[in-house]
Amino acid sequence: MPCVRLQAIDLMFPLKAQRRTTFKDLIVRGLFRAPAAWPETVRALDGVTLDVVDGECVGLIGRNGAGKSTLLRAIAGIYPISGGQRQVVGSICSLFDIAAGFEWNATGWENIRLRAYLQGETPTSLAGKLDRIAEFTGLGDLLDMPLRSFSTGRIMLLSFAIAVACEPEVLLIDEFLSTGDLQFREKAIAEIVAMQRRDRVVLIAGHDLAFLGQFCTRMLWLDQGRVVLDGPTERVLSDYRQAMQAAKPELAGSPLAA
Amino acid sequence: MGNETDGSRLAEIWRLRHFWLALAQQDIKDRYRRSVVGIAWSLIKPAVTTLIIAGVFTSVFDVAWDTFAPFLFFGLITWQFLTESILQGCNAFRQANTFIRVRPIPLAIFPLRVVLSAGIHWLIGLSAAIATILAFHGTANPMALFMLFSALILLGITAWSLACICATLCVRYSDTQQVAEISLQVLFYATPVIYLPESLQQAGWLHVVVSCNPFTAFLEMVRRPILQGECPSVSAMTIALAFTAVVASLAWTLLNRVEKRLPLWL
Repeated sequence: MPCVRLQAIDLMFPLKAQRRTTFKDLIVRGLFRAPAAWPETVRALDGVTLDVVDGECVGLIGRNGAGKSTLLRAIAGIYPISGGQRQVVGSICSLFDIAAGFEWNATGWENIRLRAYLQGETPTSLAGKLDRIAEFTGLGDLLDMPLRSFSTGRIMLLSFAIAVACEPEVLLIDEFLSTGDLQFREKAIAEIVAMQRRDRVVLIAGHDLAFLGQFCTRMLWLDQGRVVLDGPTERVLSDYRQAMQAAKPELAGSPLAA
Repeated sequence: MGNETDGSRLAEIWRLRHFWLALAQQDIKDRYRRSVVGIAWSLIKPAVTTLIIAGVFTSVFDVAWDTFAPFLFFGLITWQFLTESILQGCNAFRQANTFIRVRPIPLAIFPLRVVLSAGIHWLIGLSAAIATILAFHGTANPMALFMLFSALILLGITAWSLACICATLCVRYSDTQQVAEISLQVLFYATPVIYLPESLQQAGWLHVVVSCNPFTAFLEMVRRPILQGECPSVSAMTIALAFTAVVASLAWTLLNRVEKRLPLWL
């Protein structure tokens, strides 16, 4: 049975590495020992505990920089956790950013193969799924064109179709479906609901509360890397909306508002 | 991924073979997109360089055209393979950022992609040259051809390992590529790519440097079975084998240490 279990996980994000070190830095620092004016790390996740079992669809909400994307990447096993315990049972598929896992110069078909092979598919296992993917996207002959000629919405459609065709047991989606048109959103919701029925686990981060509210069974509200509230969709959404309303006067005074 | 044993990481790389083979294929396609002669460039370029250098050297120095030109051609294409693997290897992880952020996979796959696409050009050059030589000189020594095959494998592993090391360093230190370029240039003159190793016998310290250079051994292992139809010397084979073992374990240790944290640095 697929599940995601996080026990008080921490994730320290190194800042030093973001600012690339040059050999000159190494030598200068080695010689003069200048004090580091830059914090070494930032705590991106702080004691997050989460237990998601099969058939649940959890929405991750919170302001920008709250740690939603980092949490998803930690669940996917891409970012290593610095503390706590992470256990994920089941095959994982992620939809994190639209361009991820694609080659711009390759055609739609070539990209379908590439992305599916990255998910561990083989030519034999993929053969039966190609038609289904093409049908879901509805792109037809466009799939013979290089990916760089595709619109953002179409690329998104393509990656969603591939992800669903790989039949993951745990699907992780980050801020992904928001640029889709109405028709695509409906298709996506139908797929996610179907996955829930098949006892799969879905975690989806986003800002479109009404959209998430349509299919999420549970919500997790994050702020500064910590869980603020975890519970049934209705309750978390109403608390979150209230908190955002209360924070409004603070935003109105921002220098950009003038 | 870090808890995995060494064997299971190799197994995972093998399990994802369709992925990296598709990537390498894509690289070749990309490179010759809208090109008229396409992959034939991988023969034309070293052939022209060979003609120019051999033309100058045979008229200035006392070397025979028919032995020097094939010697040069094998040296140039092998060196080209090494340079391309290392320099493009420097960007292997940065370029693969888009795939690394999709799911955790063994990072060694990306330098392998670079080495494979460089290797295809090398193999095309080698096969064309071997076919030409066999057409003129008749049958080959099967034992020597077997040694050539093992030389290709060893040099492939060395290039893959060096590409892994450079790719990792390059994520942390952006000067790695410049350092690699300069080092390769120095190494080029310390390796008998465009000159015969015998011509250095009077050169004292340079002769010592060149004979200790592991790439001299690799070149001997590639050239000798084809050009002389003989097995390479035991000393060359030992040096090449030992060097491969050292860089491969270095690359493996380095990746073991940083593989988990590396996605945070990208």
